[in-house]
Amino acid sequence: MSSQPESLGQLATTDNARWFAEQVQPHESALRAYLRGRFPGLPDVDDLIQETYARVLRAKLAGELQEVRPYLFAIARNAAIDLTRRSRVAATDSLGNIEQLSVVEDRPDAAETAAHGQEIEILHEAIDALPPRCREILRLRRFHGLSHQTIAQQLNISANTVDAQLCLALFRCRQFLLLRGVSRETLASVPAKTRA
Amino acid sequence: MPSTNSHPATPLPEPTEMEAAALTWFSRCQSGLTEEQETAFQDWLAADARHAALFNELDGTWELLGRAGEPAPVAAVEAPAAAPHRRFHWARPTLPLAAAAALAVGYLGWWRPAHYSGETATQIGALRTLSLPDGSTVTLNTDSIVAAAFTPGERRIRLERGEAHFTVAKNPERPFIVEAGGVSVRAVGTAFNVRLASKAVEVLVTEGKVRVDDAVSGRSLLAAPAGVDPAVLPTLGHPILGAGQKVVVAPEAKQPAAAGIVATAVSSDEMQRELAWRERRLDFDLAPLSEIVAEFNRYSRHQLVIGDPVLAEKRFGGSFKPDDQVGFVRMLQENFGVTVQETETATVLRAGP
Repeated sequence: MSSQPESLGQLATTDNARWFAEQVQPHESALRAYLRGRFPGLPDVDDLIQETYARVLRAKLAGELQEVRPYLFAIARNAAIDLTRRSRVAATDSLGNIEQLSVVEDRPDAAETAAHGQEIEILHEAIDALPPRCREILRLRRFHGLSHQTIAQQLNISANTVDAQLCLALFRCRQFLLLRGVSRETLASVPAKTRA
Repeated sequence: MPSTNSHPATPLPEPTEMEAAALTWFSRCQSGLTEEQETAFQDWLAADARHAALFNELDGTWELLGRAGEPAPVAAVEAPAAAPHRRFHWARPTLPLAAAAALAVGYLGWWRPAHYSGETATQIGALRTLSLPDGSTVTLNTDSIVAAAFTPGERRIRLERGEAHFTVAKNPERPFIVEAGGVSVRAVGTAFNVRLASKAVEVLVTEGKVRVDDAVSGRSLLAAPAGVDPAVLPTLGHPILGAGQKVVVAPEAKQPAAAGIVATAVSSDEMQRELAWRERRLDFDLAPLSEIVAEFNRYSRHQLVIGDPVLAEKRFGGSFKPDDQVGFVRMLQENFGVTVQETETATVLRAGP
């Protein structure tokens, strides 16, 4: 991915820029949603979208591009798979270099988390306001990391009920944030870094 | 989307059709999509720009929920004010019984995720999961104590007593290190179980890979490279313990001249049994009664004692509730004719006539 800013710059002629703005960019939020849904463990969706754009531009210049949307999703998917492989190798490598890495100062994800202190406070209220059973199911799933199946067994309810209650909890929490003035854009742009 | 700045007191509305669809897709994505579903998901996203926006909002909310963790319980005990700012030094837990206070210390650290320290203890018979500010979770078994010291460069946990399972949030630049009985287990993003037994330290990896080192010298305690994928070893430069592998570190293994410990492979059935405690179960597959009794005794002050060497060797299997000592003893009495003698602090078991 290191060559990508350069190539993006070279490729940004007026024609290409217009094509890009009209044909590619409108798909960005769908692309983001797709990557988040299909590859929930990915550390950085933004990087991946940049990489996808670079590949799409290259394909356009090479005359390989017919229809944008299906191609865009296919490229994003491949890029995500590549990245997953690469980050596995990177994680393995870094095990050998732990001493060197532990001197690195302040991580950006710490600042990122602190930046959402307000939202987190609101969420604590939202959680408290949930119906007790719904809250319990959310607690077991999101904070204790239990599977839907395990929760269903423990509470002696069906897996469908667990799903439905989790959906309700998530919906109520989002609603609560919106009612308290958190914008939809803020929510949609929370980078997903840590997942259960 | 209706105006979002209406009164907080307005009753919360039900999801619209579109919101319900977004919730359904989010839920499906969490359990993994089939190829067919993936195509349908793409189509749904492409059908209307609002679909993707909604999906991203739900994903953002879910993520924030993970960072929020559980709302702090109303602490009955004042937590020491110095705790959240303490930088990298081990705060020794005063008493395992002060679990409530210890938990409150943990929650105070919540808002300063780069620097965090806290201790948590569980009483005999308790089971508790604690979310750490980096998104990792620790599940503590009965009668256990952990202390955490997080700095921007590393996440360090000390298991002072008992047993814990760690699910580590991936962050290759901030290693997650668990110290127990002079053994240090290092991970970047993985899940593993550490048990501090009376003499040995047991490490079982459920996911990913860890290093197992002497906590003082940093020397690896593992044998290389048996059981390790040779393709991985050269890039690592360090022996590792992989998923489904277990080592038991006895005190002798920490001698400088000691040979590296060879990892044992743990079948998935066996792994489930070893980790059943997280779901408040004790699972055994034809284990000697002495072993089963020792497990039960970790969960209760009232102890079981086997007064009969033949009975101690008898093997039993099954799934038990660790807090149901009475039910277990009754089962032995009724189905296996074991006789029981009660004293004030113990139940003595003997083979029947």
